Amino acid sequence: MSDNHTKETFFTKYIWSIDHKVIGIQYGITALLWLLVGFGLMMVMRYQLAYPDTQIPFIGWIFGEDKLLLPEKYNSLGAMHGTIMIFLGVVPLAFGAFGNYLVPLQIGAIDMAFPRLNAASYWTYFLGSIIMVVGFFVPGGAANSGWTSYPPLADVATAGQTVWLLGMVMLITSSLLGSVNIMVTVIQLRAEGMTWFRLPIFVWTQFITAFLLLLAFPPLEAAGILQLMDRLAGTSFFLPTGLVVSGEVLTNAGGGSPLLWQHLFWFLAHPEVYVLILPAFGIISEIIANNTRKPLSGYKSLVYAMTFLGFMSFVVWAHHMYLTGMGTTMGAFFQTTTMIISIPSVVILTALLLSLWGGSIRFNTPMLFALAFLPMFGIGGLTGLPLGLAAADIHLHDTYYVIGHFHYVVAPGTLFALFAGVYFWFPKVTGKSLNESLGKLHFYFSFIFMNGVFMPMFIQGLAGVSRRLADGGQAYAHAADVIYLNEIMSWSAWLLGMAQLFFIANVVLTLFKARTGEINPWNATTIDWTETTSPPLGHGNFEKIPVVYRGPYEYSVPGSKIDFTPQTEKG
Amino acid sequence: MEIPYGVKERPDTGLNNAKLGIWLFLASEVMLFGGLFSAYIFLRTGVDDWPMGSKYLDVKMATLNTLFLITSSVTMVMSWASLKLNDFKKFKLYAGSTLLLACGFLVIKYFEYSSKFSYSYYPSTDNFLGIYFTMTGLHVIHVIGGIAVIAFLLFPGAKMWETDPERFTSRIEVTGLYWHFVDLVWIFLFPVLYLL
Amino acid sequence: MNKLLSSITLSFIVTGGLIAGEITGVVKYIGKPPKAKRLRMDADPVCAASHQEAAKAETFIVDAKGNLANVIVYLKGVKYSGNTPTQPVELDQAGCVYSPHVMGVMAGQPVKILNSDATMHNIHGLPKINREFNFGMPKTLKEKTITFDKSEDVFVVKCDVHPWMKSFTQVFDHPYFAVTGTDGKFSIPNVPDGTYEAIAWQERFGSKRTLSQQVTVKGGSATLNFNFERPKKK
Repeated sequence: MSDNHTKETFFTKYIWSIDHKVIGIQYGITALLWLLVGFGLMMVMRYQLAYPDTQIPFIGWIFGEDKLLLPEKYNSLGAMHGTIMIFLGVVPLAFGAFGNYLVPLQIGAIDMAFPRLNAASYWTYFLGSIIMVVGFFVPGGAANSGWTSYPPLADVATAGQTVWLLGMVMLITSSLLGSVNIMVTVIQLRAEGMTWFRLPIFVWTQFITAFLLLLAFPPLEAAGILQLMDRLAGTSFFLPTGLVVSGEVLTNAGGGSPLLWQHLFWFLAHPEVYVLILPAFGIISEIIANNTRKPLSGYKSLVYAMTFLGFMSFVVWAHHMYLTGMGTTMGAFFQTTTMIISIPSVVILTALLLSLWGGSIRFNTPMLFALAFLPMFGIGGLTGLPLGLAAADIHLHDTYYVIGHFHYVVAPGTLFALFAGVYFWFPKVTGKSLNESLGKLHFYFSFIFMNGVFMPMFIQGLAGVSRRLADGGQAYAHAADVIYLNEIMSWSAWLLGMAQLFFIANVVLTLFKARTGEINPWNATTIDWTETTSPPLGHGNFEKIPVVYRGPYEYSVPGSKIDFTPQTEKG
Repeated sequence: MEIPYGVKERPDTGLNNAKLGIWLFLASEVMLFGGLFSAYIFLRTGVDDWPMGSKYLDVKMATLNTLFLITSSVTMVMSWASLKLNDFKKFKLYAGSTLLLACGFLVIKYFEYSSKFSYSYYPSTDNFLGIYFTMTGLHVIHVIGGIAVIAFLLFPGAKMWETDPERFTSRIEVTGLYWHFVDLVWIFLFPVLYLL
Repeated sequence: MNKLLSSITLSFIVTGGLIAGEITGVVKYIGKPPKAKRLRMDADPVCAASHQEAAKAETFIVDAKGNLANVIVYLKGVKYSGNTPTQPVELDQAGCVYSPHVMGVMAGQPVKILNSDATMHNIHGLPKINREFNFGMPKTLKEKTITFDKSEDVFVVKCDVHPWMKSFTQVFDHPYFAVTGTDGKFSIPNVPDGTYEAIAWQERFGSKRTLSQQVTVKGGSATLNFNFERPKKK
């Protein structure tokens, strides 16, 4: 720690910092930029889908003289859109930025348990993200085997895939460091009186997320190493004997199995879904409790449901693989676990909905995003049920229905929660509040266009349109009736992009305003709001280490003069 | 302000931060090698003819290596115990032997690998050799990591013994935990690859 | 302009400096030709609609007199230090077949790939020595030019969208090659006097059953005929 009063330069204070708050902000800015990049890739893809094989306007020159988004480049953009959004955007923002910044503040710790590891985690992430995009500049372009990198395709793909794997190894290392750090911090550094059941739900979600990242990522690392060996050392872990590629039998030793990859990959990637959604639950819980001015309904059931969710997420992975020819016994097992895992999700959603009941709701921007999150995540979750049942999945597998389903969970779901979080904690981080009018414009337009992008996907998917067509289904008769939706979705996507300008403008304009330094503008109860200045002190967060006397959501306590009772208030 | 429980144990968990951290890290390492062992089982059960390890591999060398690693684990514990007993000289002796044994392991591994290559046994030859090279290679990387840490603590890092002996002891303990894990992985690798 | 002039002069020196001649001849097939298979193009309506009569496979095109088309005839191991033509060789994708079906090209000579169809093709060349190429050509992308760096024996160029589309390319480091027409005739011009080994390759016979003959060019011309024979059944 920097308590030895060495002089801080700009470099040590903002770039090479080991302060969890600065690292959190670094994570936040980097991840938001990557979200923008990932979104940009998607906007280009949507042009190709709406107007297949026509020249891309404005930025067509990137794709060469002919200004066309050729199918192989479309594949690259698709794979990189998924990778960037998940691994460079949402997870670093939800876990790296929010987790890093808020967990120590909410539990009353002066920093993370391992500040240097924390900085290392950020810089490994940064390096990994750079490696990822270097892929665009190698021969053959960036990885083009989908974000799932299924072999044997990925084994024989162009050099971009190797770059993808190397980037992935860096990102896994980063999240490993981050998750150990968060777990040790929560277990060891809780302030006096901060018992497990006095933790804000947000801390619980981060803790469980860290647990998932810690245990789910290493098998993907193992899979990545095996795929690197396949690509670089000529092994055949994922290549069966007698595989024919481009009309010729491969000369490798054979004996491997592409299914091995799928098992290892989904063993990560299903918990990964909960890595994406749990921090969102945490943020939404904080905002809903705060803006309904009443305690969360069922704090303990939320905690138990989330913990159960975490454990269950390790035994559902093969529901991504119903079409790989698994036996009915296996299928039955994974269908059952999949149905079981939907129970805690319903418990969580119900608890959050019930929390609204009887509250005196304040409709500010973060609350609007939080309120929209509930039905959006509901749609995302419910549309997942048919996919969890093998019989329905046979029809829906690999169609736009799947795309619609998981985007509802992640885009209007998690992303709305993250926006809610940005609006909610912005005053704490900067000491300046974001503009409400611009915020509401941002919300309403985002809400409309989000649905404009993803709702039609269900219709196309039910009609059987495959998710992997570079021309949006033009060549297929069964797609003819629903192909007109492509244009609607694309225009929605571009307008959704425009709507984000409200957000960008809001942030930029607010940063120029004078700092008000209001400590607790939302009248919240948790330590991060009540015991720190805005922004919190550079060294050690608190003027004196807080002591906790009560639970996190003591709003409108009967007999109390004000409608919130801070966790640190005695009595 | 100092981050609490850096060296001292937190009363309700009975651990300090570093020890908890290394246990969590090792949990993820278990998942990493667990993933690879699962891959091994998956590959082996997926084909009819899986070669016996002894067809390619030299059991004698590996047995010697197993002895080296087990002994190095013992000396690692002894080095920590010596610090607890305030005997810095003994610590140097034991930690030094750990380092030597670890390097010995690498030397034998080098001879093993080069003899494989001299028979043109490469990772691409078949999946047995593929998984053999992948798993032992990853293990070797872990051994090298351990050597680097032990060497640091034995030479430049040893100065801390003068300034903050408790923290230094804790570091040795944490390194020891990691080293036992590396040893344990080998204890699994040896029968799985060489004997079964 | 300067470059063009100098290349003309240079080629004049090269051809004029030596006594050069032309090798001409016919490639025939002896025996009953196999029946050409019909190509089923139903998978892509655009392809099917572009043929009035059913398209036939071009694997073995032989006329009533036994004249064999699409045979590459070339001289082996010739040293050549002249220019590489800058005029591109065209490979068209028309009616969902490659035209020409078989072609030769010099290393460094541009190959212009055309798409005359209103559908998407994905051209995928499988050379071993040169760099593999593999790219989509949607109906709006009408042409793309590539080159090969090194000489290489015949390799397949195929379409990943339409599995029946297949063509063959050989890359040479000299210009002494030709492909027979439907009349089985070929001619290799501007060959310096000398004795050479000539090779004939045909798709069905493959690289292991090429024919080979000595040919001597003297005083401006030489004749060279090849006869492929139906292989005896084992």
